[in-house]
Amino acid sequence: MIGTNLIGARIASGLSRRLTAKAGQLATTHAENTIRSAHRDSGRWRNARLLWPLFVERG
Amino acid sequence: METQLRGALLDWLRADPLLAAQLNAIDDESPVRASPPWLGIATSASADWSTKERMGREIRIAVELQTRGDDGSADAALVSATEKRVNAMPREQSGFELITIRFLRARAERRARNLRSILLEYRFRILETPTE
Repeated sequence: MIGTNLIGARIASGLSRRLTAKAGQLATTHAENTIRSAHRDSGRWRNARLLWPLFVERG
Repeated sequence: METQLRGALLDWLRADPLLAAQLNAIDDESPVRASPPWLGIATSASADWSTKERMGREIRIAVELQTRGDDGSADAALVSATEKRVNAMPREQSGFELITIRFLRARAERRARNLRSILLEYRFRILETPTE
């Protein structure tokens, strides 16, 4: 029983860490897009990392 | 496979009589010298989508349409023609097979010098053609 709870806690911890990392990445990209948009930087549409941050990370 | 798909998509778009007649350029990158309206592949990225037997890729492609002027209806017609053309791309290609084509999202913005840009984002899932 204790072992099962430990495994469950580790899985939850890993999931939480991954979700936090993804949220951080999305927030960073959103901030960069906002700044580039304010500067009328058309190049932001030509940067795959800025369009699909999680997808580019996965690839 | 990403490069192959980009090439096939460009050939397919260039072969469309309506787009060819209305656009000044259909290029692999955003054309620097062409005057609007033009269509270009803004960017792309790919990830593994292989099966046990066949190599595959999930490929995202962003297509940028740039026009000039205030005529939104002309832009809408071009966007509609582009979308229809992309969706009608033949599934059997040289070296790979298109499994799915999915429109993801579009966005538009007005730019300096009376330019308007529209970005169309797609997701393609492809598998290599099996060898005999």
